[in-house]
Amino acid sequence: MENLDQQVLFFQTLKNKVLPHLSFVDEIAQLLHISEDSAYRRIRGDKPLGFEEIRTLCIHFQVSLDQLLNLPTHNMLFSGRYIKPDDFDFKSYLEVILSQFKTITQHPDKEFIYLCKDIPVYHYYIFPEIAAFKFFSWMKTLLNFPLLKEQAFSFSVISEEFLLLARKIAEAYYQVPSIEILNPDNILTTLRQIEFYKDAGLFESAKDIEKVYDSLETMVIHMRSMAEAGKKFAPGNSPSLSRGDYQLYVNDFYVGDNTNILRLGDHHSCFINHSGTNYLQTTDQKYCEYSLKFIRNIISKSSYISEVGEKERDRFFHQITNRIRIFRESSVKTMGKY
Amino acid sequence: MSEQHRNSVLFSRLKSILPSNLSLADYLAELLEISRDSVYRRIKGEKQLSFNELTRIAIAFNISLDELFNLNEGHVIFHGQFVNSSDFRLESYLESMLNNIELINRSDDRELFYISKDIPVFYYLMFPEIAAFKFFIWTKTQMNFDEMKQGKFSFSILTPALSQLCDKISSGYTKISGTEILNADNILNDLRQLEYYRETEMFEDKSDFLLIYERLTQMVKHMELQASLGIKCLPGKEPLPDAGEIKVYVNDFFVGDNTIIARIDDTRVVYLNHSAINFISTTSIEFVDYSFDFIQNIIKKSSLISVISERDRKKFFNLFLERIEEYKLRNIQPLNI
Repeated sequence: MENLDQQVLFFQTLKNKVLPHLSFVDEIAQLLHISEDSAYRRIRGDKPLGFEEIRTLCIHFQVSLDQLLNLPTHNMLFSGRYIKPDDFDFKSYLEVILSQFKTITQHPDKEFIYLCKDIPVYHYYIFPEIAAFKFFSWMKTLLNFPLLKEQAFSFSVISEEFLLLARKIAEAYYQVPSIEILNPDNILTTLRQIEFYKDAGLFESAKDIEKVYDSLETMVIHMRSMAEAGKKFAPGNSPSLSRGDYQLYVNDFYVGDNTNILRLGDHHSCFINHSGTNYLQTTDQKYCEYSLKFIRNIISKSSYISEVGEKERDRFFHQITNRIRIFRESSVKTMGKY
Repeated sequence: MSEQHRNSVLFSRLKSILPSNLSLADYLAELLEISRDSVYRRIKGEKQLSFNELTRIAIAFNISLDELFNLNEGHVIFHGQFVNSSDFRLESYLESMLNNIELINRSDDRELFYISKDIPVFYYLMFPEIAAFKFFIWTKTQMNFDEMKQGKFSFSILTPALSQLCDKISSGYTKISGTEILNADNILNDLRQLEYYRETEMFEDKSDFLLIYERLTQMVKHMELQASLGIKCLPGKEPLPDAGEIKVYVNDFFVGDNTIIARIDDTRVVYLNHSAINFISTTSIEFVDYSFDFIQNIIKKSSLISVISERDRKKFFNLFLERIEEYKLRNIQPLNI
């Protein structure tokens, strides 16, 4: 009989990617439109896979054949949608994120790790004024939405529906135990965005600027409360009811790149940030392991400020609120130093 | 693409790779340890290649199965190695960077776009003391190399071999016309790293520490000089006849992510930065186009400070210089003050 051990190895790799509560054989049968028996014969290596079957499985399970077979190509597969102004539906974008978070929250053993270049977006989402400003600045300035070309910022531009969805995403995020690695410079992106809009006369009213700053300050104060409690929770709720542990690490020697790692049981997915607000996702084992190891190393050199480390926590959040105050009061001009 | 079509694509590809004096059927018969007839049945698509056979072929012909199977449809195939202390050390990392620079320079029509989170890495490599300092940070603190665990900083980390690679990369970089998008915060990472090492007493000699501040100042002045000329050059040297042009933009709105896009004739490659100094690259057309459009959009919202806008240029680079001075002053004080 022909030696099909590479095929068996291939299926073993795929099996490791299936969540434990799902049936591997069923999933293979369904994907290849074959019976369970036929799926078994392929999994055991009794029947060779066709090219199209290999391709279907690779795409579904996000497996790089080059990597799996140890070909010297160093390839990795990533997937993700691009936010394009011409066919982008912001509502459905938020709905997809919400549904992904809902799925994550149902998993019994989950963890989310965030190596921040900017403040994790989910923290903005529960505070409508700063969330509205972030959404607007992404769409208008980063992603160049034509409809907003002549539009200045005001809260009325952002639909209540978006803000409600954002709130739901934040609430789902609060239920996922997470680790965040922050740096005092993470706040600068938002501060410079507000400054850019001030400088360019892109706020419809001066009151709106104050509201955005107030909202940002409230957000930072709430992040501090969550760090103190070691739990994520919506403003006004009790931390003791929260299921989402919050481990916050800070360092001042490395600004992250907004990489997220999601762990569900033994499975890891890496999300890498590119082109402003876009993300690509991979389950490539080598990439995920390397990223995780790298983040663990950064953590080992960072200060832990959740629950314990009050002095460090106060120092860190003081740095951030102080920067907000400087930007707010001094009107830091374009290319200016804070 | 049908099963049969993909089969044809594979065997046509193999035929094009194999030297014309060799017979594909003979070669494959020997490689797969099957008869010529069996090879023909596979070529004609009458018999399916097994997974093992496919693997042997891919290794022997050095072809990517990800590309053969078009796994990039709806996906992006990235390529890259990760810096580690065993099989992709700093030397290999720099060699790989040099290979990419040389590949770009083989074309007459070439261009490099850099959207910075930090100072573009090429400037560090132009100044040996800064390069040594960055190598130390990368291998000791960021990549956690075992052999670096106990050691303190010394310029000797820059071995002659590494130094030679830095020189070649720097020289190659100056030959590629490029656009760099900078942000006022790009220098902060370096200054914070210096401060971190000072606080963790990683400098045996205080003069080393001060020398790095001095070199950072020189590096910024060099960046400013290049921007004023609009031509790339090596520090202290006149631009060479084959030097590339440089356009420098400043934006306050978006801190970049160290993404690099290289254009080599009609081909564009995106290099995404991750885990400190690692890069993964792709030529996926959809991804490249999207990244390129994004950078063009950022450029539209940025200020051009090379060649023109002397006042803005001075103001921008002075900000870097002021920050270096500020960090230097606060770090030359004893820690207990």
